[in-house]
Amino acid sequence: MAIGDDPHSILVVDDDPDIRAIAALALVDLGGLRAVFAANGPEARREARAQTPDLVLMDLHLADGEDGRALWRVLAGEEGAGKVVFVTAARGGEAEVLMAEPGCLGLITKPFDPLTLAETLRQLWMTRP
Amino acid sequence: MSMSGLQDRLRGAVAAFVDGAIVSAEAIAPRLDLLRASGWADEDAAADVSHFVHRLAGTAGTLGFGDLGRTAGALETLIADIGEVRLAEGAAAVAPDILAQADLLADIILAGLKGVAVGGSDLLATAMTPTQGLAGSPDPAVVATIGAGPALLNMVRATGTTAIEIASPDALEALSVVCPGGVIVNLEAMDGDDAWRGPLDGLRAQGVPVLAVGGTGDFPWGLRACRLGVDAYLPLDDPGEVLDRLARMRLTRHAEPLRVLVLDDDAVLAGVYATILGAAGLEAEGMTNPAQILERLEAFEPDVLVTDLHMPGCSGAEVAALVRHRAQYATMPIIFLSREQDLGLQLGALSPGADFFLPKPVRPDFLVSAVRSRAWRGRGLAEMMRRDGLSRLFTHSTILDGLEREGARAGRSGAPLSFALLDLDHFKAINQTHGHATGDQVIVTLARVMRRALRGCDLLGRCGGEEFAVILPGTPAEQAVGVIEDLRTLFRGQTLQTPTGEVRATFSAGVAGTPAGSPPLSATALFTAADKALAEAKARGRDRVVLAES
Repeated sequence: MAIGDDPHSILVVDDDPDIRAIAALALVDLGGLRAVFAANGPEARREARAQTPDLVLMDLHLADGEDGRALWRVLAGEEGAGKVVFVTAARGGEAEVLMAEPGCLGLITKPFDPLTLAETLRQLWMTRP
Repeated sequence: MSMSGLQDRLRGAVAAFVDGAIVSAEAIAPRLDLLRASGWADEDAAADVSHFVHRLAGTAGTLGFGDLGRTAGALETLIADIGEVRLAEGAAAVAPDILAQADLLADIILAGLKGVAVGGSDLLATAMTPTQGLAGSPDPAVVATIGAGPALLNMVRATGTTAIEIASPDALEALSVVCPGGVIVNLEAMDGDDAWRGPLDGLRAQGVPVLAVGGTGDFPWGLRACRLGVDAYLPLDDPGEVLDRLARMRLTRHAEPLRVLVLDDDAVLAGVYATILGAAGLEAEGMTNPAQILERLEAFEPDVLVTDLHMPGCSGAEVAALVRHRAQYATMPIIFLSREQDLGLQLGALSPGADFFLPKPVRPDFLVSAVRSRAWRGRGLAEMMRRDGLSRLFTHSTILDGLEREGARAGRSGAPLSFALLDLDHFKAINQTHGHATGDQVIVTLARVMRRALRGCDLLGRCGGEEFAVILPGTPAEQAVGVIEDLRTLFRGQTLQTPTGEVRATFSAGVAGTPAGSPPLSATALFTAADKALAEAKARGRDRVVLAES
């Protein structure tokens, strides 16, 4: 584990409190990473402005029809967030489109394994140009 | 954070999901009732239910309720597909089978949500093994033994493997941090089996193979081995065979995912079944046209075929019979999906080789477990047919196929590829002096040394008699020579104890390959070049490796 090369701070955006709780365990407690959490667009923008995360873990389908892809563009453009990893449903067929998003390092499909989430993110983080 | 602290937090997260599940089951039930009453046609209710199951598919699976998550994912797929069919062809076009499948999935989800309990989460079960997901794969350089005698321990250590003798179940539990390459249990020297079971299960969950030895191999001993949950039981006390078996089990563990081909004339159902199997970690493809079955089998090479029994134009039984006419599919398990009223058809399907029937509508958990267990058996059988009985290496024809395939792949990707032919020196003399049984032992020894010394991606074969072959993908010729040289040194250091005295053997080898940056040679050219280099190694005095001139 190349601790020195870890992302400085990760912003996790997911509308589901169960997923946020398990992601906190997976990334912070188990993975030793620094992470902040947001449930929707306004919260994500607030956290991004306060923390300037260098990696965003973005759920694609947020509550009330909010689109994770559009939200990422806002975070990248206005709040200076660095890179993104999208969280998609296994059924989603939009992989190529998402990979073409600016700053996209990769995709993680739900359900994910909480015990290996931090390691997976580290590996994606190391692939950044 | 301590492991117990982490356990508590994980348990807390799972408990929060469980509490929420019961509430959400009550909230969604009326919408679901409305949707079902409308024949899955009410658009507003469909949107609500779809959103609900979409979310559940991600959450339940992540928190260790895999079956519930898979079922939710399958229903989401089905609702979307029903919507598309209805829009394109009208509500009447949705087949009754599909509605029955949707009803069943909805029932399972509601029952599952009401029945979830913290203890049912796989996440807590796997996280009990502290190193899961953190430690690497099993380390072949370390083997744990329980009650091993001096003969076994010495044999293990002679191969350069570290043997750790374990005295108590607690000590075994602590060992999971090391993640050994295997555990050898001597049934004769072990007691208190129940106390050992837990730690052994923990290691097996990490992918560590567990092997039992000792006893007579009779039913009571075999039963004891089963109850301990071991992967294999070898009553014979040949330590070399024991180590070899562990190496072979490690290789199959890290094999590629199981492949399933699903044939159903209804595209929606074929898609749903493929989705369910895909969510369970299998590689699944759906298809609808029975006429394309042979092309799809050849292109996808599935471990299992799942087919609907009742299809227009051609029954599943006929498909099975047709497939079975091809020798290469003789061992592939075939599972039929059929409605109960198809009893006559079911009986008819038995003769051409049905392996199992699953009732329609299909329960996701039944489908996954039926396919998975038969796929492993089928793959094991196919492996046996592709391997030589004595050495357990690939047969001559399998190696030739492999060389064609790797040659074509290297041609496409531009990656280097090497091929080596090995021939035991003075093998006839060994047979004449020490007998054929000793000759066989020399062959088995070389096969074992090859398995130990070469990488998982290398293909190892016995071409008949005393000739062996190695395909080394991604390896330039110069590097391949080094690999075979190491193998030669390792093998000539082996001593066989036989009734007629100690036996040592050597081999000669010819290596051919693509030099880095050059265009690849064809499979035939590689074989011919390696064969020529082998003849030269023999001519130059044997016990050496010669690189073919390029």
